[in-house]
Amino acid sequence: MTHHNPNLEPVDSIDPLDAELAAFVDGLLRGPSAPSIEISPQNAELAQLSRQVQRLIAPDSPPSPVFRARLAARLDAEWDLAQNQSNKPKSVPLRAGRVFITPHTRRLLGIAALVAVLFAVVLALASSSGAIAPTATAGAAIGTLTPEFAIFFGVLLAIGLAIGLSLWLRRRR
Amino acid sequence: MSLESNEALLAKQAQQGSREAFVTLYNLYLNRVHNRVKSRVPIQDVEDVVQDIFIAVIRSLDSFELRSNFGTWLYTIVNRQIADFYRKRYRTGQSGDNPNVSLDDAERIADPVASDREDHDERIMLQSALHKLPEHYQEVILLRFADKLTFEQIARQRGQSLEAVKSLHRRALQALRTQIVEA
Repeated sequence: MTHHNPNLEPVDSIDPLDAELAAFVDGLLRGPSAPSIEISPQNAELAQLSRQVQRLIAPDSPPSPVFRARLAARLDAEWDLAQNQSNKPKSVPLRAGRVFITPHTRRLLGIAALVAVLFAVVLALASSSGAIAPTATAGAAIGTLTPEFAIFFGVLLAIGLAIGLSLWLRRRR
Repeated sequence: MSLESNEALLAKQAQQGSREAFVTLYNLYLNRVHNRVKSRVPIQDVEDVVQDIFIAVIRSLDSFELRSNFGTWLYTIVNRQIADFYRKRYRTGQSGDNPNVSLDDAERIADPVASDREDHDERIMLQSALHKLPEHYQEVILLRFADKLTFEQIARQRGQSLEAVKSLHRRALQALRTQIVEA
């Protein structure tokens, strides 16, 4: 009977040496209580090597209790972290708030800021110079120009300028 | 239910957030992973590498596909982490001429007893030789010695006949002996 293994090496019917070495390793891994296997000279070196491999991998020395405890604690923390991350709602795009400020809105805001600035400037100049005599309507709207009123206009002017400037700079970018 | 499908089910439950399922898998594989790592990295680094492996398992649990074999998937992570370990060592210049196992390892651990030193040298030599084997030879040795699977279980896992696996096992040991002689 011929078997084909994935390593492309055909295996003919069971080789007694293969079976003997396999039985030896089975006994070795079962421990000293297992009955000893007679080893032929052709397998003697491989049997010795099997002992060395067993010592290297040493299945009798599992992880120490100290390491187990430390690992369990570390994995607990990692598990919690992973669960918290997977339970988090899908992150909101950082710039989502800006989605409402379209270029069109920005233009409108810019114009509005400019109009406000111009209006404030004209109003302030006209009132302070007295070049334009307030009509009854304007007089009613503006009232008497007091220092508080001038400060109010100054602040308005500064805000308008700041908005206009920032929008202008943003548009340049 | 077969062992493989039971493990896949546990992995699925762990993916859905069941800590108990993960702990069951962890308890099932800790010794095997520890044995595998012990056979491949210097003894003083075994615990760090084992820890890194299980952390990587938690982080990439979502990538496990139910139709896969959990053990095979886990051993892919084991191999990757061991490769990462040597890559890091190589970058930091700790590896000397041999990127797999360095003789510095022997010097770093001061063994006062001569027999311990001999054991340690033997360990370094065997690790180095094992590293150089083709993967299917390494795998059959690790499945038998580290995972302690029987030859029948290995045959089932690899989809081979029992005779083929016993033959592969002997050829793997012959190749290991050749590596040691050549070293």
